[in-house]
Amino acid sequence: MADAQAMLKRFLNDSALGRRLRHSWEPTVRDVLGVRPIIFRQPRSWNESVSDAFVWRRDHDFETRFELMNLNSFIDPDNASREHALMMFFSKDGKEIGRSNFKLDPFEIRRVDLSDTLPLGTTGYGTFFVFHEKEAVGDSHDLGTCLMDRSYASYTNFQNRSLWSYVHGCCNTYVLSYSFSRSKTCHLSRGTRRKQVYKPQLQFDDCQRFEVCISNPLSKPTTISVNVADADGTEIERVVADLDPLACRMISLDNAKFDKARIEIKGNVQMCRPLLFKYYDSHFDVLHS
Amino acid sequence: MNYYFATNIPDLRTEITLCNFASAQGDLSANLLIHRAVTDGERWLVDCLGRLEPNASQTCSLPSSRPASGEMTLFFLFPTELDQELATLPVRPDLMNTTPAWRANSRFASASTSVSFQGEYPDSMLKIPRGSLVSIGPMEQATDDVRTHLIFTNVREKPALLPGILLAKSMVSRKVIADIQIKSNQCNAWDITEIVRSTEERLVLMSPDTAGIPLYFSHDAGMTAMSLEHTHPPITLTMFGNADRRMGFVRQMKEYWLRDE
Repeated sequence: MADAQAMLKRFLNDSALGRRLRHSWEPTVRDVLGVRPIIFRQPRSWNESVSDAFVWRRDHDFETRFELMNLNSFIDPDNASREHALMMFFSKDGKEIGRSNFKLDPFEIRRVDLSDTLPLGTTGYGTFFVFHEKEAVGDSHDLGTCLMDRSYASYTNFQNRSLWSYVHGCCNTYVLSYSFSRSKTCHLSRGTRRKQVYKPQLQFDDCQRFEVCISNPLSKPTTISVNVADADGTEIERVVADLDPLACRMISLDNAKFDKARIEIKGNVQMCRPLLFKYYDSHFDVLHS
Repeated sequence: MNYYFATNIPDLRTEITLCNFASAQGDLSANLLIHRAVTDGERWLVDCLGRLEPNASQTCSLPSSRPASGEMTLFFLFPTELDQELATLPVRPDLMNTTPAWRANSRFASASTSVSFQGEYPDSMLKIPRGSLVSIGPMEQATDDVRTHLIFTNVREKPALLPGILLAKSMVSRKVIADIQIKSNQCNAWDITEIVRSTEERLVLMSPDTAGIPLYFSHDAGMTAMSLEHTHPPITLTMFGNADRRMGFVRQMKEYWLRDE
């Protein structure tokens, strides 16, 4: 029995056909059989690179930077090589607005100022994704796993331009994979039939204003609501957003009375994790949930 | 179950917000008591701070006699009241075992602003007898007005304050730029501003003998603007696929950067 399980596992992980089956059918088979339903679809191939959703902001208040790392050289440092990294930018409506390609030296960490990489004149906010491949071997490189970018973005605003506030990727995790050979993205997050609730484990009643950035990681439109409650759990406000794929919404919540203590995110998305900005007298805090 | 560490930083208020609800997976609230623990090197000294009602959250502070800089205060949730002195911290992987992990919000507050991160110290890490660490967390800032501190925390089941070493190496040349002596069961704070200013290269942090969680804390001169975030463990550079291959990459990273040149 154990041998059969090991063989099946090897087939599903190590053969191209097995991986395609896992990508296309595993979620459905697990759902039907009720066997540990999976949250994220596995990419078709180990050559694909996976990215969290990162949030960019660029307006009269905010600027954004990203720490772009040569991930290939970090995981295989004895064979460190140059890397090709691709950043894909989306507007808040989920429309792709630009791409930037980078050549990274071994072990390079490049601090990318998004005001230089977003299309000229772009303002507002949206999401971006970052994918990596070894420059020398291209798509033929099979790691047996996928490279994953959930690195660090940082933000500065008009109150203090010298300090950047860091947060790691996570306006939803494991959102897209990208195949360099097929020039195609694939959504890894799966929708759910039943509404899911995500409750960040923190309080908001210490700040005078906060923003909740929610995004749609799915391949089809969805509706996500943010329910705001006081410390006793009584609902005070509800904001509903209809979001196209990869669209995001920055929901600003005034908290002058300091009575908004908690939020719940509801939608047909597993683990719909928002990015949060909390505002204080002299600066802001940014955190994943 | 998870632990949540807090450190004392001069001029700042440290707070931890604990929640008796899961972030996902439905209602998993239970009868839980808030505990706070510090070590004297030989025992864990434990206070029970009271019950946390199901679906409630509570913000906790450091003890009124503020611990010395670097001393660690641990907070955790447990279903029963524990003895005031413990030889080992409880390890209960069955409690609050959720995806994502059952987190708390750790916060530093100055007179005019606050900064926080969502995190946890999993109890599975408490039993690591002699771990190691490689951390690539490019969050250092050292412009004229800004200083960055690394806060490195290692928690063990037993209360002993065991010595260890933490190294900063330059990313490409792998030269040791600085090293400090650290202790287990402490929030080891290290001002790395001058180290960052002294090199053109980015830093890799590592320890040959201690596992833990590094935080980067940056602030301006008046603590009017601050940044705080934890680093990811190397395993998160990959996702999906063969677990042995993924752990193999972590081993490769550790062997490479911990190797003497």
